[in-house]
Amino acid sequence: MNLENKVKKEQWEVLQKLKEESYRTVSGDPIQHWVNFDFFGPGLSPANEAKALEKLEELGAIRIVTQGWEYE
Amino acid sequence: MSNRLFRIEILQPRFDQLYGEYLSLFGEANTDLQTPNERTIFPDSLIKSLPKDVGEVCKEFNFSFSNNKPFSSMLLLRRLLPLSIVRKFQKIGKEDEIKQDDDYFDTKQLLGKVQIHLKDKRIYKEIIDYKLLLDSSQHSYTFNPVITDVEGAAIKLRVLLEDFFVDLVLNT
Repeated sequence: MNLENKVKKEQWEVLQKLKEESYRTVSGDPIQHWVNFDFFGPGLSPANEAKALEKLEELGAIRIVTQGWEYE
Repeated sequence: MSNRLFRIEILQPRFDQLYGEYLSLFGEANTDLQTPNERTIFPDSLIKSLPKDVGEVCKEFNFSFSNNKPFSSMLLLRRLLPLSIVRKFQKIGKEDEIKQDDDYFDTKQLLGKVQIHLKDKRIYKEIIDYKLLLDSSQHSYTFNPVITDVEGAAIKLRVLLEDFFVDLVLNT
């Protein structure tokens, strides 16, 4: 897989999560999407997930209304 | 722990347009959204014959396996192996044989001890081969088990459990 498709696949993974979450969210409300920065393992890293969200915003598919950190 | 919360508004029609474009590129396959498989390894008929805690681990394994979770499935198998041997020795009243200074032997020693109590001795050899796989799932940082690895190991353990706990009754 070339680099472009690798990055697009990351965006695809995030798009699917957002689509799923949109079905759980009341119409008109913003979707709440959590990224866990303590997660290390196979698959999409949290840093790349955050970047994918920013890229999807640039592509005009979403608008990030707010973002913030929560610590436990 | 640190989590980042994004509040996101979906912008139509661009979102659906991009979704369709990526769908045609990559298809629906996604590790987080896999369809659960319908198969389980440990049938209810076997679970009913097992000590309660061994049966609970089997049920939890069936859930993990049917949801295509190889890591958690492997770790449950790793738990199941020594637990079932200890329960077997307790069942036959020979728990003292697998203890030293009030501690149970490790899994490898437990397997060595249980050999003579197996009806089918080939099971020992097969389980030993899979023990490396089970151990690697916990201790190796380069080994990534897949669901077919899990299935192979689990079937061997199922045979072991049947040997341990299912009494063959012949209807004459």
